[in-house]
Amino acid sequence: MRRTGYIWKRSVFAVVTIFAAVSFNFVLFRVLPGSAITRISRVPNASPSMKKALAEQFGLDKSMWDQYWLYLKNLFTGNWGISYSNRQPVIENLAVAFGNTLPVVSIGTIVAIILGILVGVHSAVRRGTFADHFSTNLAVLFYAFPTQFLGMMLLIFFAGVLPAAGTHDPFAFNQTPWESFLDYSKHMILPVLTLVLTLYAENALIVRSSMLETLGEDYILTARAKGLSRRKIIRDYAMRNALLPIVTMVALALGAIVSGAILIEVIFSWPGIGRALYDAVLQRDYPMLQGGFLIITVVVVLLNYLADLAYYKLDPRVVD
Amino acid sequence: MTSSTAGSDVPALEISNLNVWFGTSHRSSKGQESHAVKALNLKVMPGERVGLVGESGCGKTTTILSAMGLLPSTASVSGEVLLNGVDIISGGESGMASHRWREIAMVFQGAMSAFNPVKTIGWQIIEALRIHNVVGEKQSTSRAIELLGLVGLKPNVLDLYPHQLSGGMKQRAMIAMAIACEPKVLLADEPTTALDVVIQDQILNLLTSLTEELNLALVLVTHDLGVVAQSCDRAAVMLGGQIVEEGAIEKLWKNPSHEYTRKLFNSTPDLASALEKRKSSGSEKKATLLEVRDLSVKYENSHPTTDSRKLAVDGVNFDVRAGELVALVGESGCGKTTTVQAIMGMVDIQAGEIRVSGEDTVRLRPSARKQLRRSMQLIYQDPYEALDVRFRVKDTVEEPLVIHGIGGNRASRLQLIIEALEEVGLTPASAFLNRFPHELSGGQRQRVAIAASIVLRPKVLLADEPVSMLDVTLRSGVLDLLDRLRSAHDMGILMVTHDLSTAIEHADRILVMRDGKIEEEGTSNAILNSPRSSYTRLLLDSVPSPNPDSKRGLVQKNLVS
Repeated sequence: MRRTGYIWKRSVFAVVTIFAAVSFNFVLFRVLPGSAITRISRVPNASPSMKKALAEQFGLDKSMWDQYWLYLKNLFTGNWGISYSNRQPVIENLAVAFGNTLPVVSIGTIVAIILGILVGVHSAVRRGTFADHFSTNLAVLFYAFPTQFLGMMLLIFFAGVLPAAGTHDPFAFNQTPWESFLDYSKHMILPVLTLVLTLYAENALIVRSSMLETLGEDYILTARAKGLSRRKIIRDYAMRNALLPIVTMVALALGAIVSGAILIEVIFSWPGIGRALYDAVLQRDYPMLQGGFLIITVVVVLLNYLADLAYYKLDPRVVD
Repeated sequence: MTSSTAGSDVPALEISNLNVWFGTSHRSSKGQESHAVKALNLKVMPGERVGLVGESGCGKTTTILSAMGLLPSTASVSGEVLLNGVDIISGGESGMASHRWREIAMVFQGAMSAFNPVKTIGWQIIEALRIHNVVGEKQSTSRAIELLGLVGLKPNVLDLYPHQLSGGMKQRAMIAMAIACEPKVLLADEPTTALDVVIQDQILNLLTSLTEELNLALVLVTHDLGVVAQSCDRAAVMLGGQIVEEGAIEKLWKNPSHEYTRKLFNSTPDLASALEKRKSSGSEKKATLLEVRDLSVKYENSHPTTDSRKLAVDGVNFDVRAGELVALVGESGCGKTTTVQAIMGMVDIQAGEIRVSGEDTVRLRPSARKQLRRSMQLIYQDPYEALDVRFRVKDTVEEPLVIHGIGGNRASRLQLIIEALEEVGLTPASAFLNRFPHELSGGQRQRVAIAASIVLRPKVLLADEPVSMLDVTLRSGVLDLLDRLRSAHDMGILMVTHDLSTAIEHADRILVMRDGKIEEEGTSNAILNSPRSSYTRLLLDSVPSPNPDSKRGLVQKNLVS
């Protein structure tokens, strides 16, 4: 009873957060000084009738609430405006960019989580050994690297061996879909590697300390006394409990992944959301910025929502 | 498997010449080792219950952990642990694994955290059954239900998670899991320490009857001689890693040969002798210092599902007079600590009045409240947490003086600090002034905490379980100190405790609290000898006496014969 209440609460919370972000996006640009009409009718001495016509054309003569309603309607029907820089619909630009970011960030994050868990568990179980010191110090080293620095270093080391920019070889013609896929994957290696190295280290350090704490719990002693095998104790008792805080940590880190993606995509000229935002800032492409931020907000909220649900599934104590 | 026949002279568990050293961690350059258990010998026959008694740090837990090979890798062990004549620790971890739980099982101290919190009780009991292949897959659920029935739990517990059980139920479930593979030996490490006295009584009864039914050898590790006296046949008293005395519990009680055994028995709370031990207290009526009228406090984080009308403290009335020690007794969750917090103004109250020296304290302005704090001080339960680890003793005691602007200059404050320290028995004070908390024992820490309270010369002292974290031999010292303070300075002391025998020995009046209400109020004598409420009687009956012949022991013998 109370558990379904939890899901409800989290769902409502996620929807409300997204709605608040959407509304904030609307308000933000309307509280800026100056009116859109005077900016558009930049001709000197624009006649009042011309201003009125412009206001009618853009719906700016309507009340704030009507405009808000219109904004929401456009948002849900996919009318996100036209990019200033390439005159294409924002939603189409962003769809392409999102399609490029998704594989890099998701593969990078998933590999980093798995690698972080493996390394962290391994070090915790072998606490105090050379292997533990080595992997812990290595993780601290990678954790300390700024993303852009690590990206640059990889770029310098692997330039020539691996493709360093874009998604496809600009000189390749008539690629079959399979060749195209291979080419794309090859271009993905360096950006993904950069993301993995910056993320795994943090995960490994958190998993290690969480595991060490869990291994000192009484139920680990119970499990050993029960005669369970070492593997079973580590899997069902230690890891199962140690990973609970990791779920929250990963969810909280998602915002940072997005900003990391901006740096990585700029360094490797990867045409994803981060890169699109970077260009939009440089060119003051407001509709693109608005749309890009919206997508990032929604993604972060959704992933946090998923983390909440995962936590609910993993920890029977979650009720309140 | 050879099963030991009844009356066989092969001990179920025999520990011989056990030595345990703890190496300091390899990082430290000192490389010194501490000898935690020294040449220990212990025999337990099938069906026999042996208590292993001692204070914290005496090596009793280390002993039974080493019997199961559960010590951390920093420990080195020598000696033999024989189960039915077979040495089980010589084979190392791998040789040990097959004996664990099948022949020797354990119930741990932390009933709260001994279960994996993310798996159901059923899952964990069935895991124990399946891992040792004692029943087939299909019968495992019915066997688990049967085990729960043995310890008095309903089958629905199978599907519950540990956090959904009370402390007593959890410990029952733990015992069910421990006997799942029908072991010959059960080790119980402080199985009732975290439980309320009524529940403790039930768990001890359960362990006693199970050992008889299953011919189980039980080693009961505890700091509480009362627990041993009420549930064991024999006891071994440990001090500094060694067994200093061993024998039938009656013999130890009547005729202890070792000085330490005598000391332990004397400091163990005992209802029968509690009144005799009392120091005579003045019966003259003095001024009322603390008046509590119709005090009600709501639950702080009341959950939507809990009954919102239910109060943590519900219409409580009592007085504390000058020079009087009043004990507030009750089980955990009865509202006794909330009452103290309400008096201190640390929680908001729902209704009622609290007066200190006739002055209403509930609706005070912050500045007046500061003045009030000076006349009313609190002593906390845990002396390890109550002191700031970075403060020297003199800083801890000086801080309240500085806050309240007492003593003018450094030198006169130092004089007050020295007086306070000597008052609480830390003499010579100069030896303690510059020490840090980690350089003090538990009893000394609690004395420092008390010194920091009395340095302000408060009229009222509120003591929240002041001795429950201390070893028994240290308790009486701290309690005697409280006794002395109230008679010497006419302080009124309100002492919160779960321990009825401590209350009877030291308090003038006792308030028995239950579910937020005062169930019964009376002098120690009246509470002990003519309790009116059935709940008070239940509490009295549940207190384990260190005298093996008293109460329950007699009842049991009558049942047996």
